[in-house]
Amino acid sequence: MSIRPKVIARIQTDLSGRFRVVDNTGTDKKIIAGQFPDVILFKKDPPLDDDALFVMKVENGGELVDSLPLWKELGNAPSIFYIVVPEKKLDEAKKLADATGIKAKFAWYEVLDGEVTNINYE
Amino acid sequence: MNSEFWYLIVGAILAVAGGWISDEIRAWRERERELKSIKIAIGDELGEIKTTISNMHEVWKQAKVLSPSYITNLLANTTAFDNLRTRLFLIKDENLRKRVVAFYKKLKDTGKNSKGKIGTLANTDEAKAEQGQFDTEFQTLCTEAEAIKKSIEK
Repeated sequence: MSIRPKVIARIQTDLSGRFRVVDNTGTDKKIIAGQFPDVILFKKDPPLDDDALFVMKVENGGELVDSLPLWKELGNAPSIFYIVVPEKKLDEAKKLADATGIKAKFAWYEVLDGEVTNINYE
Repeated sequence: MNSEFWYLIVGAILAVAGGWISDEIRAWRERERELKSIKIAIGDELGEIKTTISNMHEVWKQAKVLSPSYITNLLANTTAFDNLRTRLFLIKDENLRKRVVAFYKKLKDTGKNSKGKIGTLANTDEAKAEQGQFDTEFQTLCTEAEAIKKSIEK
């Protein structure tokens, strides 16, 4: 099993008390700023609306530079954009975002024995 | 001959005075109409600002999150003021005029200061305090917007 679903599951566990957390990696995907974020956080109802408060892109161990075009688009969305990276990739992700002028906040996850143990949000 | 001359002079003076009074009345009515439209435009805009801040506060109460989309909307909600600023002198009440200008300045400053800082998932006391501070500042602006709206629509 890839780490991404585990990170998304952890996000759902952590934040579903405060938000309507949508896993956007399934078949019925929502488009934000012309892209498909991995996770979307909506205001909990009532009242139910479609204003996304946060959008997230979960990165695994792959090349971060490949995600730059998607980061750029999601960074321009009206919602707050979080880039979720493995802890060891946090500095690299921040440098890439700074260098390319991408507006984003960062979250980083810790993995132990293939399980996501914690997610930190800045 | 002599009296005809004076009739002519008096007639000319009356014609000039009549024209002047007519122009003044027309200008006064135009100013009044303009003042009314300024009050309506600013009053409506303040109403929108108040609604946006109230919505932002509702989300804050519910999820302890401030969304930057509201800030974008608030900064976009200064069009009436920006367009009418040079005509604000038509509001005779100097105190009210100053309050309107000061309010919009504070709104823009607060909006700009909060950009990039507003909206976080961080669960630390420091982050919560910072976001709470922004919410308080916008709540103060909301109260001020309501008060100015009432004064301007009197």
